[in-house]
Amino acid sequence: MKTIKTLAGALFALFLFGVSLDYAQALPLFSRQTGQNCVACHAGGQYPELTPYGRYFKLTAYTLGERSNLPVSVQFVGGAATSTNGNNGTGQVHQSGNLEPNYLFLDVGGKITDNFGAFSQWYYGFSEQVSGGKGTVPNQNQFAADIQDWRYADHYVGDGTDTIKDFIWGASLNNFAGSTDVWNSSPMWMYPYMGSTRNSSTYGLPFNTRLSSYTVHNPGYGVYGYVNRNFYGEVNLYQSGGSGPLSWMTYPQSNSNPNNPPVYLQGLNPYFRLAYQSDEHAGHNWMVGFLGANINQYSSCNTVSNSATYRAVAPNCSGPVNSPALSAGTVKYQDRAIDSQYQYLVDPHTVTAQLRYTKENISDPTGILYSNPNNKTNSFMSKVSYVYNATYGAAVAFQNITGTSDAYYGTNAATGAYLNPNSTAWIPSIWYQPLQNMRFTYQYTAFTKYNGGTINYNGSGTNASANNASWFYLWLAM
Amino acid sequence: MKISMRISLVSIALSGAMLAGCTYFNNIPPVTTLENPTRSRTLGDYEVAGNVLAVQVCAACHGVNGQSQSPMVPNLAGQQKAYIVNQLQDYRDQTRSNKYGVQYMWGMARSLTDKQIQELADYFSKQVPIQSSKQVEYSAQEMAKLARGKEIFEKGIPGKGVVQCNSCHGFKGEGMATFPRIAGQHAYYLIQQLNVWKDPTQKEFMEVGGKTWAPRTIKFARPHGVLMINEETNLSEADINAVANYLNTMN
Repeated sequence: MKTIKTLAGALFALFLFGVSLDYAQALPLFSRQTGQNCVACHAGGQYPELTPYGRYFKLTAYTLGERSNLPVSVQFVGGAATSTNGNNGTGQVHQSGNLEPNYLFLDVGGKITDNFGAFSQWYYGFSEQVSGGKGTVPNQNQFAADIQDWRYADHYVGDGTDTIKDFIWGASLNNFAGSTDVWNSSPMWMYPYMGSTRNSSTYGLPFNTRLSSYTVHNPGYGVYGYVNRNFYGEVNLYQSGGSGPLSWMTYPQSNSNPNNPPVYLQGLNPYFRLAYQSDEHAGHNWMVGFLGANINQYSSCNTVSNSATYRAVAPNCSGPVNSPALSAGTVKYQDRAIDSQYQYLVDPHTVTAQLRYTKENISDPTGILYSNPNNKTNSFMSKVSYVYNATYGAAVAFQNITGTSDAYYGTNAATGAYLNPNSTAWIPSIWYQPLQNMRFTYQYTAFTKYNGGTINYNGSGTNASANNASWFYLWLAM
Repeated sequence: MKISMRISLVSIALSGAMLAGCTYFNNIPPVTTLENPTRSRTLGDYEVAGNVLAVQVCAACHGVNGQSQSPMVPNLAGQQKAYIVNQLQDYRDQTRSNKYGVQYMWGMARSLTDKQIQELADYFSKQVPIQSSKQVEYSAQEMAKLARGKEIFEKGIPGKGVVQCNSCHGFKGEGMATFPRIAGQHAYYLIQQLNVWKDPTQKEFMEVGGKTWAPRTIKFARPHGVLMINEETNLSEADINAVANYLNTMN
């Protein structure tokens, strides 16, 4: 009954928002700013994937177009997530199988001045996974800062005889490593583009490298340059927000919130990204890139979680909550990745493919988070999709991670041996977009390996397939 | 219950604030916003010069030299100035309504001033079309197709009432005043345009421009292209393909 009321409340909110927007056109902010359709910037309309023009729009700091009178838009995500092979997998402990609201996003920003613009997303997560078992997940039924990308950019255009014919440069204040990226093989912007708050299997792999989706969640400052629309380079430095002036970027994480502590990083933590983007030829374009990050993370009473959002560990210490243990050393992550993207964009056909391979070294000499002083993980993420007429789409992703056994990944209930992260997921989906800003998706996650095994991986009789999940959902933006 | 109450209250407040905000902001007279006048991407500001918009906005798709990379996007280098002016005005007035025009160009052109349109047309018409330097080996089938295209370009199809292209578009396809340059244009683009009048009313499930509440039936139209109705309706798919590919190879 409560969920029905919640859903009704959310729909009523959307309705009111729609009514209030009507005469300003019920389209998302960037669409109102440029007056263009979603397909102009999103490949085949499959937001958030970017076309070459969409990349230009983002790299020039969202400044193309007319400043909106109403720099706000909202997105709603809701649907039904269910277990498909019995409700006993560790990735599935929270779903109900009912139609439920998942997220309400609030987007603000867009063009601010000739050189300054923002993509500033906030969200309300409905009944996001509650604590118990593996997940103490922040932000349930709470408003929170999502992706922030506040940017300054300028664009120089030379004449045809110059070596540098075209140069875009800029700076960004952001809150996730990779949020600034314009390719969808990058950590923050890779498929699956949405997951359910009720079932972590819908996001794919149960473990990933430190540098992956929504993982480095700290205030960061960066600069970037893009030469001749071919060569791209970017460096960002991430540091703890703490209670400083940038703590809003990780709201509601705070030192005084025991359910949602900030992640304490030591000093400035570099993230870099290099890429070569090809010119477009007959509708084809491709990119190859190299990226990485070095993250040094302090221990603190409940922040020894790797990915902050979906795999945090419940508080289990008796010391002062939320204060970093500065003398206990750090966990050092070194991630290096190669990635690539291919796009074919000629209406009515859109074909896109992405892959990313990450090698990671984890050093934890004082045993803050891991039982081994050194661990390695390798992850491979990929996806290919086809969209017809920006209306009908299908995609399939293959994700794989391997790594050393460590107490961090759990313990076999029967043998007491430490588990490893080795997991393999296939994520097919199909979608239908009756309107450019409304998408219905059916997404399936199938694990052929989970947490180190296929059959009885944890000694409690759980098979990898027990974590399989279906998710049918609506994504609406306006 | 508490949650839905809270959401409802927040949304009522938000909606109210927006309505008030719109009313307030819409009554503020436009102010100049030229923080960076030589490199602005601002649309809807009469103070931004056309050649600035050309390189900062239009060039993102049409190329800084008017040579576009995507086959969906027409080359503008060497295009007739009068033609560009007409088309930009038609996009601004929302009377040219072929699919991509609506999706991409209505928004770009919606606030251009007449002066900016003149300046943009001036900029792109003065760009020199790039001569194709590569030697392409054609198969016999392709040669036959190009020969058919050349025949239509030069002689038309008298039996079907299709007038030869070069009678209006120039002997080299370079265009003339309001008749566009078609030489060297992307074949994909030409095929799309040659089909505009074939099936002028198309149901687009994907909403193209304007309000989003329902899929609309849009009527594809090119008010300055009415002279082409006869040609387009009488050209077969194969002939459209042939002539578009031939035009693409012209310099």
